[in-house]
Amino acid sequence: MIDFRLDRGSGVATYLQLVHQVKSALRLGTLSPGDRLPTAKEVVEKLAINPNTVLKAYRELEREGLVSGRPGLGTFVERTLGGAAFADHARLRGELARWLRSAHAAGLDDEDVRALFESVTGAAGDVKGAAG
Amino acid sequence: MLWMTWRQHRVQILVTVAFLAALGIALLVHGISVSNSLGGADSAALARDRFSEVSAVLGWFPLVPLLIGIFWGVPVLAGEYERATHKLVWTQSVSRSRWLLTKLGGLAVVVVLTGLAFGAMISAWIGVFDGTGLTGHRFADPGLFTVSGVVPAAWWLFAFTLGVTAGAIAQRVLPALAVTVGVFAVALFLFMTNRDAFAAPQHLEITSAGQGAGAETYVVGSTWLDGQGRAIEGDAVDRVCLPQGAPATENAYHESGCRQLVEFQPADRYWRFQLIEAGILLTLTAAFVVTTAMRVRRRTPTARLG
Amino acid sequence: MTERDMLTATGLAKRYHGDWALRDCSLSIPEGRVVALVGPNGAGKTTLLHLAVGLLEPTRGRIGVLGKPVGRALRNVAFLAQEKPLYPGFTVADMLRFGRHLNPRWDKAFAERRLAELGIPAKRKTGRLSGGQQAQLALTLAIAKRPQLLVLDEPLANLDPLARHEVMTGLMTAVAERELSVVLSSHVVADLTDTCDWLIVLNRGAVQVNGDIDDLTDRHRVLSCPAGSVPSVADRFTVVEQGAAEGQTSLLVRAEGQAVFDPQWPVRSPGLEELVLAYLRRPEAAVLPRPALSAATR
Repeated sequence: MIDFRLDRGSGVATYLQLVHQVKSALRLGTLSPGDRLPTAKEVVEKLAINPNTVLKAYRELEREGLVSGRPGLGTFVERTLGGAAFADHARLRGELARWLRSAHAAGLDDEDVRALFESVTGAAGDVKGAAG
Repeated sequence: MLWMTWRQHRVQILVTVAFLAALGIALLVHGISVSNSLGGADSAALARDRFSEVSAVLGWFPLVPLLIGIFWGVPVLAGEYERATHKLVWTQSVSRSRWLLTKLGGLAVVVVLTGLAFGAMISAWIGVFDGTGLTGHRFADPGLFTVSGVVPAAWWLFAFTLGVTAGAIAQRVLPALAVTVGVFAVALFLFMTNRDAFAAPQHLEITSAGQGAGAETYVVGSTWLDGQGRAIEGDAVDRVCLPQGAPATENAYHESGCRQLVEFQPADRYWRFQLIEAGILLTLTAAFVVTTAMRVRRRTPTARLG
Repeated sequence: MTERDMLTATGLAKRYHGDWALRDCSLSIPEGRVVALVGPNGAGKTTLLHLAVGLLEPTRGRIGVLGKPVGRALRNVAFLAQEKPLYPGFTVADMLRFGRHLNPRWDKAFAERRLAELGIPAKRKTGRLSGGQQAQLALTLAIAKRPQLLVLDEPLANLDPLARHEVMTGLMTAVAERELSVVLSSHVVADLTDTCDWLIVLNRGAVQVNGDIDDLTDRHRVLSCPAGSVPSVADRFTVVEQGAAEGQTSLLVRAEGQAVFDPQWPVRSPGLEELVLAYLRRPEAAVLPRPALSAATR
C-alpha cells in the first residue's frame, strides 16, 4: 500500500501532492490495478491533514479514470499509467544509470545534468508532437 | 449528576460525618457517665461541674456552620470559576439550571440532615441533665441555644448557601471566603445578641424568697425596685434594701420593702424561639439561592467568562 | 448538493464593560468543515467561541447551531476551552465517568480505547498528567460526547511540537471517522494550514475574511510587476497588499473571475498565512463569500 508523504513548504496544494504520488506509484509499478488506496482515516492518522483533502485527491484520480471508489470497500486502482511495460522500466533504468555515470565522469554536475535533460525533453516533446 | 456531586464533595461529606460520629460518641460517653453519677450526694455541684466542662467546648460550636460555609459552600461555584471548569461542565449536555438544582439540592439535603443530627445529639446530651435545673441553659445561654434543637440545621444551611452565593458573585475563592466569614460573623453576632426581641418578655415581681420564674426559664434581665416601685441602681441596691448590719439573705432584702422585677422568657417558649430563628435563617437562605440562580444563569462576561 | 449550515451568526455583537468585543458579525459556515478562526490577540476570537457554545449571551444579534439557538444545542456542541479544564482531584477514569453521567450519547468504548492507545493510565490523577496528556484527555472528552460541532479555543497553545502534532492527528482522525464539523482558533496560522478548509479572520471585533480556503486562494493572486504597472493593475483589481523588493513591486490582489496578467510577470496563488497577514495589515479590507457560493451552500 502506498505511503504518502507531505512536503509542507513546497507551495504545491496538498491534494495535488497526493495525486502526483499516486501517479508516480502507478508509473513505477508500485501500485497495480486492484490495489486498494489507504482510506482517508489511514492517511490522516499518519499525516494529520484534513480528510477532505484526501477525498478531493481521490475524486480527482477518479475523474481521470485512474481509481474508482466502491462504497463500503474502499478506493481501488483501475488502470496503470505510462506507456511502457515494466520489463522495459528495468532496462531503461539500467541504461540511465550507465549514462549518468559517464556524464559524471565527463565532469557534469547534477545541475548540468538537469539542464541537459530539460533541453532534450523539450526538444523530444516537439519531435513527439510533430510525429503524433 | 448526583454521582458527580458526591465525587466532588466526598471529602467534605466524609469529614463532616466523621466529626459527627466523634462528637456523638464523646457526648454519649460523657452523658452515660453523668447519668450514672447523678442521684448521689453532692449531685447539684457535681452536675454543674460536669455540665460546664462540656458546655465550655460547645460554646465554640456556633462557629461550626462557618466551616460548612467555607468547605462545602464556597467551592461549589468559586472553585469552578477559578479553575475554569465551569467552561467544561456547562458545555456538557446538562443545562446550568439543572446542574445547579441537582448540586445545591443534593448538598442541601446532606447539610440539613447532618445539621439536624448535630442539634439532636447536643439536645440529647443536655437532656441527661433533666431535673438538675441546668437544662435551662439551652435557652438562656446564647451559645447553647445556637447549637441545640433545630436551629443548627438552619445555621448550617444558611452558611452553606452563603458560601455558594459568595462564590457565585466573587467568582474567586479568596474573596468568597472573606465575604462568607464577614457576613457569617455579623449574622451570628446579631442573632446571639438580639434573640430577646423575638417575643416580648414576661414580668414577674419577686416579693419573697423562694419565688422565682422557674428553673428552666431564660432570664433576660432583672431590676430591683424600692418600696415605692422606683428602680434602684445596681450598686445602690445594697444600700437601699439591706438594713444596716443585717446579713445579706434574700429575705432581708425583701423585708425592707424592696422587690425584684424579673423579665424572662418562659421555658416553653424555647421551641417557639427556635422556630423563629430557623424561619429567619431559612428566608435568608432562600434569598441566597435565588441570587445564586440569577447570577449563574446570566450569561454576561465577568472576570471569569471573558 | 444542499448542505445545512452548521453555525450561523446574524448581526452578532458583544459588549463588555463598555467596550465592544464583537461588532455586527454575520457569518454562516456549512457543515462538515474544519474552520480556522484566526486573528490577533484581543480580536474577539474567544468571545465569538464562547457565544457559539452558550457560555455568553449576545448583546445584539443571534447565533445558532444547526438552525437552533445555541442554548438548545447543548448536546450537539462540544467545547474545549483554552484552559483545557479538568478537575484536578479526579482520576482519568473519574473524568470519563463525569462525561458518561452528563451526556446521554456518550461513546464509552471510543474514550477508553483512545486513552489506552495514547498510553494515558486510567488511575492517574489529572493533575499529574503532562500538558500534552491533559490536552489529549480534554479532547477525548469532547469527541466522546458525539457532538456534531466541536469548538476548540487555541487548542495548540502551550503544547510542545510533538503534542501539537498528536492533537491535530487526533482531531483529523475524528473528523474522518465521524461526521464532525470543527471550529478552532489560533493566533498562529502555520498550525492550521493543511488541516483547515474554511477561514474566518477576525480583526478588532469584526469579520474580515470568511470563506472556503481553496476558494479564497483561487480568488487571490500574488504577482510581481514593475512599479510603473501598478496603477493599471490597481484599476482592474483590488490590491490588498503592496510591497517592494529588488526593484519590482509585489502585489497581492483580489481577482474575481478570469484574471489575466502580463505573461512576463510571475504570478502564483498566495499561501494561507500570506493571505491572512495581508488582510490583518489592512483592517478596512474585507472578503466575504460570493453570493453564488453562499447560494450553493444552502
